[in-house]
Amino acid sequence: MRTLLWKELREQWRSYRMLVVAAVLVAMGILGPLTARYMNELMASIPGTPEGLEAVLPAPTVELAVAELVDNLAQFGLILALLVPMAAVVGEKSTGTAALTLSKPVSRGAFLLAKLLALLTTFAVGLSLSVATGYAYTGMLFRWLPIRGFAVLAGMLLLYLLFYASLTLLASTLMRSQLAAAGLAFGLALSLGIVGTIPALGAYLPSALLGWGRAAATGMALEMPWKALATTLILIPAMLLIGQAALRRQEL
Amino acid sequence: MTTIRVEGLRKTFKQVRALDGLSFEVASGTVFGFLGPNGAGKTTTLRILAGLARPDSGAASVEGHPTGPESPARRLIGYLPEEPHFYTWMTATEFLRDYVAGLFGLAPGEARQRTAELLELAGLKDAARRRIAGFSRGMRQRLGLAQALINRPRVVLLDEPVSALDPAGRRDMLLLIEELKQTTTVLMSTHILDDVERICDTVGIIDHGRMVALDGRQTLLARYATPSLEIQFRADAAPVAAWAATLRGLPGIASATAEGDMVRVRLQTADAGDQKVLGLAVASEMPVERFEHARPTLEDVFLRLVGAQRQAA
Repeated sequence: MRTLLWKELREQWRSYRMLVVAAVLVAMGILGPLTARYMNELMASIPGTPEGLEAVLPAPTVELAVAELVDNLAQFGLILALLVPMAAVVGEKSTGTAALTLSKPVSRGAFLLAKLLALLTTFAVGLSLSVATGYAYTGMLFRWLPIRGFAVLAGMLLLYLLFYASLTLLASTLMRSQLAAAGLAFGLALSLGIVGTIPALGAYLPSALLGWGRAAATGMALEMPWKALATTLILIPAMLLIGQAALRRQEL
Repeated sequence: MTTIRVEGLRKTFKQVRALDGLSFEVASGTVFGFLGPNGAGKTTTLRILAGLARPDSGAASVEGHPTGPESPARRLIGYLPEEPHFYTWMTATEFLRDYVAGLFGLAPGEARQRTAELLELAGLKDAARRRIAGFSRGMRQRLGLAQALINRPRVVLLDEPVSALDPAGRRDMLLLIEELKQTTTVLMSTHILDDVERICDTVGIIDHGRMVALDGRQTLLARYATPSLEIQFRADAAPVAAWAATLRGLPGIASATAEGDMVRVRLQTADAGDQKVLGLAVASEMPVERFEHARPTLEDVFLRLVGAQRQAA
């Protein structure tokens, strides 16, 4: 397991995936508070902007800055969580490296778990840097909020993205091409997005974690989203186990 | 003592029957040559033994451990696929020392020592720190053999191990495989008959997923090789070819083929008329430079057996 994890982490580093994820997320971490702070001024400075538009645009507040930060990280993070793992298993199956590894005394479960842990590390590094950057920009442009709330936000974002990375990893295990894996993962993510609009069901989905993270970052007291937390924490290992069972049945 | 046991393997891919009740055993400390035309089922058999594929029915075992995706037999096996694939962003040293040795749980010191030994053995010492992405196909095949040996395996499964090598590399690889049998049992699939003749103790010929012949190399040659004659004339190719054509269809003669100034005659039995052929050669009025019994080869055995199967099919 240690060797498999070493390989996965080194591959994340050498293929620049870790760097790209961190760079995109840090950029989003900077853009969130910046957009909140200067959007109104930016719009006002553009010649020909209709009169009274500033009044319609939301006032730059620290709550808006956090909301922009969370939205940016969730949206771009989701895209990365669908793209980065899509070739993780199917790519190795098609190139033959999975066969080389799995002809050694390695369990197929460990093969998948190492990939998931490497994804967890990649997104944890990216989110730590981006939330820290977002925290600093929010503090400098608005006011300094308790750091603990931002740590909670980073944790919720990580769980949210890890859920979708696990979904894509499962799709990559089940499908026979990268395109099909990406398609399946995107389709499932879209379905979850649609289901999430139903209030009774939305409370059970990982996206509910984001609202709580946002509230924690701004110091608001919201009830802990236990249902969403339970769903996420159950489904991530469940998807791993389904992937393991599928991989055990597959020929390489 | 039997190390590899294969019993009644059957495997079908959609409409294609890859293995059709294949059975054989490989004795410890021998080199088993697994011969067969393309698509005969050799690679499928090796993949089942390596735990990468499952048979529809039948069983395979290595030292008594049934093979399969999570089988402990994999700890005893070194496997070289026909076209080994690597993580090309790794260097050869990283791949052997940090990755493959780690998968087998070798201690760091042993991993370092074994990596150095195998890079030397595979002729890759100078490329140890180079990324695998820049390796030629032959270098990859040699690295593939090195990774198959890192755990000092009891059984080595080699799928066409010399197919990408130049003549010198091929010679070195065959010498190495021959040395391996002192400590290891080798199952080698190939369709290069010369290689099998050079190093294999036992030969299994497979066609359409069935074993059509299985025996010691010499026994197979004695049993199946067709007696042949080679007659070399001091004459032009055209009259030699014309003379060869006159032999075809004569009683006791299976075939007669001309190659330049030489004719190769396959007899139906050992005593089927070499005197008669000699008489005909002299009567041709072309000077006979050489007349001799040709050494039977595995190629003769292979073509005879596989050809018979094809005709039966």
